[in-house]
Amino acid sequence: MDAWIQEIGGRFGPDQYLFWTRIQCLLWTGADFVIVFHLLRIANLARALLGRRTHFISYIVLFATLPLAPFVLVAPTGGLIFLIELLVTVPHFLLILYVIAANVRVFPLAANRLFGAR
Amino acid sequence: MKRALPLALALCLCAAAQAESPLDWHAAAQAAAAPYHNAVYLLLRIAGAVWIAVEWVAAVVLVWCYWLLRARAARLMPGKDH
Repeated sequence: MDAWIQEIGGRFGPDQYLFWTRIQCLLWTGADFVIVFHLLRIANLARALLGRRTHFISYIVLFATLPLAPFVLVAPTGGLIFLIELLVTVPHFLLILYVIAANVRVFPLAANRLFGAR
Repeated sequence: MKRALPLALALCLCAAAQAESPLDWHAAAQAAAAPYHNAVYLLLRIAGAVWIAVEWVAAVVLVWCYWLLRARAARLMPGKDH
């Protein structure tokens, strides 16, 4: 076990760690973006079914986080990568909370309209 | 005990004069621990890959749900732009 850890640890250095961290950060940000974008679309679909005003500023906030993501590729240190990821993923997380909180009554009503008894 | 104390002190001083500095000890300890740190970082990256796979599966499911709901809404309310 110790020899195995030494073998692996000898091959995976700080440079490889930073490289794979950058790749994973981009993939994680991409998944977050797709999730938040389609959550907004579902919420707006529900709101449109009920004749309510749809979300718009949330889209602006979401797209405003996109330009920061490529800087992960050129950030020189892990600390800076972490800071960039915070600036990108914290707004995404807050958007998810906002959309769920703002539509906690809209979703059941829209589901009833779509799937309820006629 | 009292006779041994000066001898012990003299031995310590000789050892200290020949030994490397504490900074060298620290660097040597860090170099010895580096493979273990690297192995932990590799495990962190593997865990990160698993988490990202879960997130992408959730993203695909959400996209699929959106298109299902949109198709359902279009069937129920034809003519209305969704």
